[in-house]
Amino acid sequence: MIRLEGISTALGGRDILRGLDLTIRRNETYVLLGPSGAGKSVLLKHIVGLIRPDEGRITIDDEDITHRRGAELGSVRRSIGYVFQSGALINWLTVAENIALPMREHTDQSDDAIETKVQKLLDLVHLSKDGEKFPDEISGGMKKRVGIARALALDPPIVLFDEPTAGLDPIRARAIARVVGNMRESLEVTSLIVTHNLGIAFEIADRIGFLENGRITEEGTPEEVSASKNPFVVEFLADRAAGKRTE
Amino acid sequence: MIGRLFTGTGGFLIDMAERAGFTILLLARSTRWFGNALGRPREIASLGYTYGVRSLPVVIVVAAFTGMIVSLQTGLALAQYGQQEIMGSIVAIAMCREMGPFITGLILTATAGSSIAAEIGTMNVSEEIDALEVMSIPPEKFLVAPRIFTLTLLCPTLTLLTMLLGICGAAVVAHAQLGVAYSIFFDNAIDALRTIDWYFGFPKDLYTGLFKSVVFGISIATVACANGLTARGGALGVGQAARNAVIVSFLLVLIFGYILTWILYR
Ligand SMILES: Nc1ncnc2c1ncn2[C@@H]1O[C@H](COP(=O)(O)OP(=O)(O)O)[C@@H](O)[C@H]1O
Ligand SMILES: [Mg+2]
Repeated sequence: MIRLEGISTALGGRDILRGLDLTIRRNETYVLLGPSGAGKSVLLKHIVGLIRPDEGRITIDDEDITHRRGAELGSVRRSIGYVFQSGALINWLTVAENIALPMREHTDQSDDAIETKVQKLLDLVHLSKDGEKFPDEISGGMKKRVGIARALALDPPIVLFDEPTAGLDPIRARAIARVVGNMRESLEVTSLIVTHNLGIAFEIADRIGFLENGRITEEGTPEEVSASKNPFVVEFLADRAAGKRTE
Repeated sequence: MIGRLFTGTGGFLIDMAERAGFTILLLARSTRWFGNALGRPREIASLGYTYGVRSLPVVIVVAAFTGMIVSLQTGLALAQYGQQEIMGSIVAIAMCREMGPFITGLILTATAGSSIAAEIGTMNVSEEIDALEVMSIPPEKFLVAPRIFTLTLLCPTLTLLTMLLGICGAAVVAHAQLGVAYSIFFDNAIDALRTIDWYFGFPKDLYTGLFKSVVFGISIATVACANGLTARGGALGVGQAARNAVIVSFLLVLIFGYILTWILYR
């Protein structure tokens, strides 16, 4: 369970989060929507301790991580997979080495075991034949999928996705959505997904939340959110009503 | 107006102190990972190859020309008194004590230092450093320690090359322009180095030059990593990090060079 209570954070002299409350239940798939620059990425970074709040409290499975730094965050971080907006792959390591990195650093598995696991993860993200390529040699969408595979390498109980489908064509976006959707069905994971892709959001979410002006202003199941009268939500969802909105 | 000048200067000084503090802490935090870097010789070799090969052509040209210029200058002055035969000693001492490590330090700053800062800066602005932190892989272990370690080895190696090439370049000029025989030149060079203390069969001047270069290597790598890790704001920030790294390392090579000479030869 991830719980953020009264989180206020200013960055570069601007208030980004203002008293934000958010609870994500165990094994839930929570989709976070909101305009660009609303602070969605900033919110995700709070959960892994990359950004610390000025005020408020962050607990993960009842462990208070609000004021932890560096090594103190180790155990919590190892239970979280983080898919970065850009993939954030190490560019002198191959795709397979990138995926193997967390296992090499944090487990004593044999090379064979790691190789098997890497191949499984590559299959999962439909990159079975691309393990030997370097990040520079693959497309943006492929990098994101490698990022997903790397985030899942240690089988974390919590996975955070930052715009996993942004900038991808509809077919690749669907492929990623399928990976996320499958995960939800087959594994016991709590996931928090930031996306602009409303189609995917409504398809995979248990609950959807809207981040606006530094707070969650609307939250609920896809049905509840669709029926919302909040003008911001109505406008945000207008395109979906028209039937099209990818990216 | 004057007030603003003061707050501006104050802000600048505080900023500088912060950077210096961060850099020193980074070096301290990285030392515990040196053993780890030692255990990954392939990565060190690959880094050494990358930065070394990139610097090699510049080192060769600059070393040879520096030797030639020093040789010509001193040679012409000495020739007025018919003393050009002792050129070898002057050049040898100059190259080993000062010029060798100094030139190599400056070249490595411009080549390896700037590219390390740009490389790590790029990783920083593209969330790769964040990704390492989230995976609980300290950048000190994964990036900084191997680079400091590499330059600690690379800088003396290239310095040795610079010394040799510089002295050889000087010998060629001494021979061609001032008619000093090679045998006389090198006899003088070796004699000059021999007159100072010897350790383990090699002259003190060589050791002090190499010791300086080790210090330079450590500071170039640390400064470059520190600037890369604090780069902010896209490609612009990366450029700025590289520039800062070069400026600060240049200054440190000069300052440490002076301090070490003072300590080692007073
Ligand atoms: N480290 C930082 N320092 C200063 N400002 C930041 C930092 N990170 C993000 N911001 C600012 O916070 C705001 C929200 O950013 P972000 O969370 O990336 O938005 P998004 O919702 O599109 O993901 C932006 O205005 C951004 O410029
Ligand atoms: Mg974002």
